[in-house]
Amino acid sequence: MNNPIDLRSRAAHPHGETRRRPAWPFAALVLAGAVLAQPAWAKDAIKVCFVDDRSGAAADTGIQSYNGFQLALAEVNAAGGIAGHPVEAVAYDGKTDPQLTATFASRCAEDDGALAIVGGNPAAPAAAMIPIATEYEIPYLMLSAGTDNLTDAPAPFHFRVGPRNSQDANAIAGLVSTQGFKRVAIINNSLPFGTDSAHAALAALKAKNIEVVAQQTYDINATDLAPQVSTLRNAKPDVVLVFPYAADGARVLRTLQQLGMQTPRIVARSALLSTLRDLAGAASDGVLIPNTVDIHRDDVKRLFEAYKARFGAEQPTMYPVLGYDAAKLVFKALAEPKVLAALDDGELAAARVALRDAIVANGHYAGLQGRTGATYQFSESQRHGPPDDNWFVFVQVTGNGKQLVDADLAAFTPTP
Amino acid sequence: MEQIGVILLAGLTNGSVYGLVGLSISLIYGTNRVINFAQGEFVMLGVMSAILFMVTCALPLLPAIAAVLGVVLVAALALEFGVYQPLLRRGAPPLTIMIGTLAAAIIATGAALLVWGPLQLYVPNVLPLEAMRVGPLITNPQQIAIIVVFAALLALTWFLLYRTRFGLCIRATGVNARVALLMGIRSRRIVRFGFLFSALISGIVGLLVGPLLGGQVGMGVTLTVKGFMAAILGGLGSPFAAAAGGVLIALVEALVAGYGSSLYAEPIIFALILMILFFRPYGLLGDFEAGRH
Repeated sequence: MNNPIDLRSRAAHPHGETRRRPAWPFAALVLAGAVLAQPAWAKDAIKVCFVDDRSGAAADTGIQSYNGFQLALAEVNAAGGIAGHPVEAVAYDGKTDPQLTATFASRCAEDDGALAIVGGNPAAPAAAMIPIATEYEIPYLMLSAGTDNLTDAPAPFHFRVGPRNSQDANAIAGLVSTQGFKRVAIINNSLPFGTDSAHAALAALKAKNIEVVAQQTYDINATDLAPQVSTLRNAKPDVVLVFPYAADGARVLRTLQQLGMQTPRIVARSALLSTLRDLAGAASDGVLIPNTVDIHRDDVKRLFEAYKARFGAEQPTMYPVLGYDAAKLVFKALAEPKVLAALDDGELAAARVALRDAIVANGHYAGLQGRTGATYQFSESQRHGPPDDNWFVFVQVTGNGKQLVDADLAAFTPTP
Repeated sequence: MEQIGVILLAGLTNGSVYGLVGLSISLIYGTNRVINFAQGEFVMLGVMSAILFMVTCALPLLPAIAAVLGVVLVAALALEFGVYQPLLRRGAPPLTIMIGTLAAAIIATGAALLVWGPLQLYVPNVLPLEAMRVGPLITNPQQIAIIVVFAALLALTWFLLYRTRFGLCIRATGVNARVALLMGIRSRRIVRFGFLFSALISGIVGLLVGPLLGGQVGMGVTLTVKGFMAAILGGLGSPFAAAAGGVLIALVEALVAGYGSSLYAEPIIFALILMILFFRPYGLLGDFEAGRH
C-alpha cells in the first residue's frame, strides 16, 4: 500500500499518468453520510444492562437470550426509540461466576447509569444480582434461573421472567398423569438445577399419587453413568424423567440407549439447547421436553425468522424469547410518563423507582412465552411472572437430535 | 451380580481417566517436585484440538491424532519454557512454580475460548459408541478403549521407569535432582521429558474422553482436581500409586452411586481421603515419598 510520500512523488513524476486528488473530500463525504444515516436522536440514550453467562458452562442460554434482547433493542430503536431517547445496551459476561456477575451488576447501577438489568439464566449468578438490585434500587429482570425460592420472598426490584423449576415439574407431572404413566424413575445431576428440579418433581408426582420407583443423582464429570442407569432399569419404570445440564444429559440418554432402555423419556428444559441434542444424537430422538414457546404462534414465528436473519437458525426455544420478552417489558415500562419525566429531570434514582412501578402496573403483559392469550402475572406481591396454566408446550426431539417438533402424545404412552 | 459388575466396570472406566490424569501429574512431580495445575488443560487441548483437526479441518484419523498429540506436546514445551524454566532460573520455590502453572492453565483456557468459543462441542468418536456385550455386561468400544489404554500406558510407564537406563535417570532425578546432575544426569532434559510424556498421556486421555464428555474449554479444571485427588490418595511420589488412587476414587464413586446417591459421593470420598491421610500422610502407596522425608 502506498504511503503519502509515494503519492506525492508519483504526482510530481513527469510521466505520471494522473495527478492524485486529495482524499479528504471523499472522507468528509463518507463521514457526512455516516452521520446522516444515523437517526437524529433528540435526547440522551437510555441504558439497559444485560448481565449473563456468555462464555461459561451456561453460555448457550446467555448468548441466545442476549440475541433475543438485541432483537427487541433493534425494534425499539428502529421505531424511534422511547420518546426520542435511543436505547443502548451495556452487556457484561458474568461467566457463571456469582461474584463477577454481582460486580458487573454493581457497575451497571453505579457507573453505567443503567435504568434496569436483564439477565440471569444459571441460578447462582442470577441470585447474586438480587441483593445488588435491592441495594441500588434498580429493576432486575431475571431470565431462566429456575430455583423456586428466588422469588418466594419478593425483593422490591426483582422480577422473574422465566418459569421456576416447580412449574416445569408440575407440567411434567401433569403430562405423566394424563398419559397414564404409573411408575416413574428420576435421574438428575448433583448441581442445584438437577437437585432442585428433582425435588420439585417428587413433590408434584406425590401430589398426583404417582409412584416414584427409583431416583438417582450423578456427578456431571463421570464418564460412565451405567451404575445409576442400571439401578433405574432394575426398578422397571414406565417413564424416565431426566434433570441434567447439556453435556451430562447427553451421556444419560446415551447410557439409557446403551443399556437397552426403550422407556419413554422426558428431559428438562436443558434439552432445548442444541448442545445436549448434538452430543446425544439419535439417543435423544423421541424425548419430550417442556418448552414455554408455542411454535404455532405467528408472532413467535416472526421472531425466529428475524433471529435466523441476524444470528443464524435456532430451534424455537424459551431462551431467545426470554431475552426478547424481558427487554420488551422494560421498554414498555420505560415509555410510561412518570419514568420519562424523571429521566428528563435527570433523576436516575426516581426513574428506576418509576420503572419498577411501571413494570408492576403492566404486570399482565402479553409476551411471546406461553400459549396464545397467556400473560405474565407480575404484581406488587408477586415477582414471578409466568402463570401456572396455559404456559408450557411440550416438544419432541427428532432427526438425530436436530429438530424440535410438536409432541406426538398419542404415541407417548406406557409400553405394554 | 450383574449390578455389581456394572458398577465395577463403570468404576474402572472412570478410574482409568482419573488414574491417567493422576499419573500425568505424578510424572511431572516425580521429576521436579512441582504439581502441574495445568495438567487438565492438556486434556482439554487434546479434546478441543480433536474437534479442530477431525471436524473443522476434516483430516483423516491418523494424521488428526498425530496433529492432536503435536498440539499437546507444543503446549508442554510452552509450559516448560514459558513458565517453569523462567521461574526456576529466578530461584522460585516449587510453590511459586505451582502458582505459575495455575496461571498458565487460566491463560490456556482464555486462549482456547478465543479459538473454540464458550459452547459445549461435539467431539467425534474414534471408536464406535454402540452398545457391546462383555459377558453379562453392556458397555461400548470407546469405554473399553479407555481401560485398555490405561493398562497399556501404565505398562509403558513401568517399562520406561524400571527397565531402561533412561528410567533410572528419571528416578534418580526424582530422588535428588542436584545429586543426579553431579552424577552426570542431565536433569533439565529429564524434567522436559516429564512435561512431554505427561502431556502426551493427557492428550491421549482427551482423545478418549472427548466423545463421552463433549468438549468445553473450561473442562480442564475439574479433571485436574480429580487427578490431584487421585495422586494425593495414592501417593504423589509414584505414578502407579496415583493411578491406583484414581481407580479407588472412581470405584467408591460408582459404589456410592449404585447403592446410594452420587449426591454424597464427593463428601464420602473426601472423608475417605482424610481418614487415609491421618494414617498414611504420604498416601496409600506413598512409601517412596515417605522415605524421601
